[in-house]
Amino acid sequence: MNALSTSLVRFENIEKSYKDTKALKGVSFEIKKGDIFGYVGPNGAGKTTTIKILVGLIRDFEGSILINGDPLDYGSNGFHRMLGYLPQDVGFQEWRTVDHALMTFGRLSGMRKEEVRERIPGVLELVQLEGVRYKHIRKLSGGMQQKLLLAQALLHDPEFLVLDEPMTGLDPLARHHLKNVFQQVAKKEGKTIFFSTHILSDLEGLCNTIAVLYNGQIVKIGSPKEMREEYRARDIVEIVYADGAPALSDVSGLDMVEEVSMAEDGAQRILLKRGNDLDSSMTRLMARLVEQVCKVRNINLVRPTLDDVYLQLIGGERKP
Amino acid sequence: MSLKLLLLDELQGFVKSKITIILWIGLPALTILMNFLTDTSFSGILTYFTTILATSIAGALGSVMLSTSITSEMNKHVYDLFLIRPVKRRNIIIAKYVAVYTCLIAAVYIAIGTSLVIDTLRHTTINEYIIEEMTKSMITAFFALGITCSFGTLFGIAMRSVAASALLSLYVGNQASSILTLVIPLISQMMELEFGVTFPVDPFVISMIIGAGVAVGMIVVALLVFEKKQF
Repeated sequence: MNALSTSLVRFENIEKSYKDTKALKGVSFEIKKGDIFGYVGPNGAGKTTTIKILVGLIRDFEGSILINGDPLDYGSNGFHRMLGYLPQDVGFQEWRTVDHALMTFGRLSGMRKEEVRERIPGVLELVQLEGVRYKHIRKLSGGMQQKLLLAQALLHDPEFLVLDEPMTGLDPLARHHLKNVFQQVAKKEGKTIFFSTHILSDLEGLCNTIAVLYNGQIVKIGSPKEMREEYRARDIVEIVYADGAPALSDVSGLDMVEEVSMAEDGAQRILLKRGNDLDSSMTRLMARLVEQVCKVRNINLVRPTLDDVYLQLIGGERKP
Repeated sequence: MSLKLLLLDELQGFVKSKITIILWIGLPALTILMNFLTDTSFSGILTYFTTILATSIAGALGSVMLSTSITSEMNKHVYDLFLIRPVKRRNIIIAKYVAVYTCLIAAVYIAIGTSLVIDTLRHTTINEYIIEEMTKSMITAFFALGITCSFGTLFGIAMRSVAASALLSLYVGNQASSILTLVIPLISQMMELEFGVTFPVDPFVISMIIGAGVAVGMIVVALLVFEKKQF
């Protein structure tokens, strides 16, 4: 089995310019079958351009895209048959009802009328829109229209889902629900998901691979775990003491401690120096707490989030 | 397959649109109103004048409806959801053009039918010459609407501003349809009157051929522009 055998999509040196602006500068990466691939970058980095090139909305570009190892083909039996796409900032023809819109999109995706009718209730239930099936789209809220966009992307049971900022305009509950939906369709149904966002918390616990795009270039690709490890900021130990109990005051001899501070919420924060072994540092710290008879209620190691990694990548010295 | 589906879909949309309803009700209502206004003094054929009036109004509204609908839908990225499916790009535009055109033709013919009924009730004498002229007017309407709609489609695709596409299709589209459908019969009449020269082919036939050619040509250009569009 060669490397390409598990590769669903492979971008090879994609370049795209808009007049004087170079939107993509030689973007290359691959998405493997079954991946939930997060595509991250600030606004204007080139995420939507990459996605529009992939789905065929932009066809004037340089470079090549391989699907299952073959050149991308948008013909009637080509890539569009396996694609479900949730675009950013698109509108529906608002005279349609939800049911009518889904019927049209399902039929245009090659489904028979009976198939679409059978599939609509399940998809609407999945995105929690079952109560508005016969409502006009113009009467739906922005969040509901966003869910309808996901419904039309899932309707024909595509193998590959491309989601461009899918959480935009959703409340926290809906975001949480959609994350569960993505996990469900990826893990239970084996779909591959390519997911763009500029909100890193959307990707936490969801993606197995993340690519960071900045200024039209890929600056990092890896798993979230690898990225956290590589870009790990100095660890912080947060200690919460029992009510009225004194905090650790003497850190003399604990050479791994760089700084001790009290947070506004009453917790003590101990910043550890970079390069120390974490396990041994924690053991020594806890021994000192016991030694000083500190009444500890909770000890928490604050790990860097994907947001921290992202900020380092695009805001720090590593940016291109 | 996708063309038939898109066409039925667009027809549903336009049939439900306010402009179509206004045309389908408004044009026959205007015909009835004209009947009352001309009841005592007018000795002509109401159907003939209705054809001209209805075509002119329907052409203007139709081209604006088509151009503004395409421009605003492109601005709202409505077509993205169609284009990422196995659908030929040109079918989206052909379906929209045919749907609007069908609605307009229906509106004009409803108005003409109403005026025919009124003419019959008024016991207006309709002779063979008048029938021939009316038939020509109806065929002219058919081609004139085709031209205005084709210009509306082209401007709808090419323009980014809804106002600009509406204005251009309203003025350029209507002027083009008037010139192309009326200028050849006028020239032939002038040549016959001034120089005694007659056209070898019926000028009506020539103008219809030119009209059809222009409409098809404009649609082809519009489709080529749409094919090249980056969304």
